[in-house]
Amino acid sequence: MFSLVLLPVWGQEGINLLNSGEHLTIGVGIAFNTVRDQAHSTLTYNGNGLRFFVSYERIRPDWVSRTMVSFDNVNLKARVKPRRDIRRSASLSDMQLTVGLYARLGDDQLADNQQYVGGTWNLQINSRNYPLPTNNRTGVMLQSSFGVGALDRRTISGADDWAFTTRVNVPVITALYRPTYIGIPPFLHIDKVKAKHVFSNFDIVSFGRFFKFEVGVDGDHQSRAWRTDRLSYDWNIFHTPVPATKPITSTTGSLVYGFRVLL
Amino acid sequence: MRSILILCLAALCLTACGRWIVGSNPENTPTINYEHFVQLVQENYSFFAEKQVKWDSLDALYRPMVHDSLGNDSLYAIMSKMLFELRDGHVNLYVNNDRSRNADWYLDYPANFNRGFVNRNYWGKDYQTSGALINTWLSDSIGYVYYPSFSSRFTKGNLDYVLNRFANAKGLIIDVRENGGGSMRNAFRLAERFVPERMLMGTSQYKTGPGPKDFSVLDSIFVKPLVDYKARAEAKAKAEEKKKKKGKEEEEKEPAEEETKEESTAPKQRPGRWMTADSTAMMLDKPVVVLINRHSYSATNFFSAFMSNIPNVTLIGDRSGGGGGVPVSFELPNGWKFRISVTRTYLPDGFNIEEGIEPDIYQNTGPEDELKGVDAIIERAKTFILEESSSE
Repeated sequence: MFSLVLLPVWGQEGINLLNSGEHLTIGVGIAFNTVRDQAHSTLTYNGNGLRFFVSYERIRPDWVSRTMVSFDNVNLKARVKPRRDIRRSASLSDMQLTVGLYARLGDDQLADNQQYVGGTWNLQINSRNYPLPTNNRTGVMLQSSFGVGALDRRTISGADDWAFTTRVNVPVITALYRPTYIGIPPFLHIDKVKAKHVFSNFDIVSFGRFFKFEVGVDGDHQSRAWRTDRLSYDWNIFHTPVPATKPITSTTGSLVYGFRVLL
Repeated sequence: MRSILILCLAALCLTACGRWIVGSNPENTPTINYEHFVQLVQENYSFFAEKQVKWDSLDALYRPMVHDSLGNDSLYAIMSKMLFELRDGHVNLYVNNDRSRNADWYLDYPANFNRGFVNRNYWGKDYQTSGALINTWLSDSIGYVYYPSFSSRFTKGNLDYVLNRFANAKGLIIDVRENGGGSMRNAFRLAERFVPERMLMGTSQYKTGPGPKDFSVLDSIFVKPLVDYKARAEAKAKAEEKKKKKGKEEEEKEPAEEETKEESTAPKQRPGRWMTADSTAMMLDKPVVVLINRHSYSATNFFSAFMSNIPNVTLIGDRSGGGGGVPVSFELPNGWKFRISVTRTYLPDGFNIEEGIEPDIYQNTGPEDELKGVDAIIERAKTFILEESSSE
């Protein structure tokens, strides 16, 4: 069935990886996370787990749009020295949706390296479960941000079947939700928590109160005319000093393989 | 190829640097653990002022005993003693094989409850267990519900069943003695069946910063009835008024058709939920007694506080154990965990519920009463309900 759908492109000759087209990528890989959320623990937790992602790219001569959804599920441990058996581990679930639209810089259509700048929207739901006795076991950070980003797409001389895309995104303005100073949401006095209670606790913040930096490299290797194999490395860091004296800093690196098809 | 290698190296470096960027763990020495412990309690505990505990003085007293060659057991003993001074059942230090506690809030007082005795003499063999709600009929048509823990779940259906079962009772006894607390959600879920309309139950605030006065503004705690009886009554009155008006107009126009129309506008019986709501509503007018003792703690204390605001509810027994602060946990550099209270809750009149709720009627029970074959608190509740129901 899958090959039937792809028949129209099956017989195509090798295409330039930087040409226009629409691509869907489905991938899986490994994510490495390190986090220190002082609303819950003085300890730094790190570990690795699985990442799943789906991305959809539209590439046109003058612009590129890119939508990506990723899910991370990571087991975290705090390493205490001298070694103690803490037994229980923490876990992290992170969901991110990123939509970016980038406009081409320059007008040399044949260039084998192309640069783009644009805007991005990022939604992130980051939740961690700590091995704590009561109440503030769950650390949550929700953020929705508008930012700026840049893409660099290029082939490597002497290797026409490889193309690399380097991505950088930085949020500029963010709607941020973090629990209170005591690590739990401010809903203790509310019988039934509704979405409006959560939304009313979002803060609109900028760099000073929420900083995030994302960088990623996609290496696309053309194995068929209709599909490429993608190896991606993504790394991001976020930090927020909210609430006061209990900041969170987290880094995530991921290495994934993606099955990328030309639609 | 060189570019790929450089990229791979950069990726490796970034991943490996995570720990360096985020910050490594604080050193795990007795003094550093003690420092973190003292600071976290100082900056987060919510009842220093109410309990007149001077944490600085405790620190000054115990700090000289802490040094880097101190063993884990000694450090645990020092921290436990410091936490004990807070006189708070929500304060514990957790290590692998122990959990420090202060249980004086109930151990220093009469038990006022003997489950085995109550089971044999009041519940008998025919009691029902609806979710976590143990319920049975007592003599003189009085309903009785025992809820052993707010951690134990019951569904709305369980509660509907129990309240329907006692719909024709003269009154209801809700026994939460020896109930050490649990989920606040269950406290709300139970209390909402006894309020006629949205009621202010108290106010609450939580720590918002490290300073002793860094608290949030007071948030009101409301409990809403499962069904808005007041709105229903108003809607019903409006509908009747409208019906009357319409009836008058039609009477003037077409007096002959009146009879058939009356038939078609007859009130419809609504199924399920409405029926349940009607029967639970009957508890609003009947005497409800909540039995408490010194081991009614935490969520049970909140529940007792909520119920004390409701006009037809009477608290009987001993003062509740307290626990008016919600506890949250922290972790020390050596992996030990501890929890402390970080919120404060007040009744609408400003009474801080941390030290417990006073019953409306003080009543003790003990071995002497058991020899007579009675639980004096249950007997007092029964007498009270019979008096109230006969006066009505």
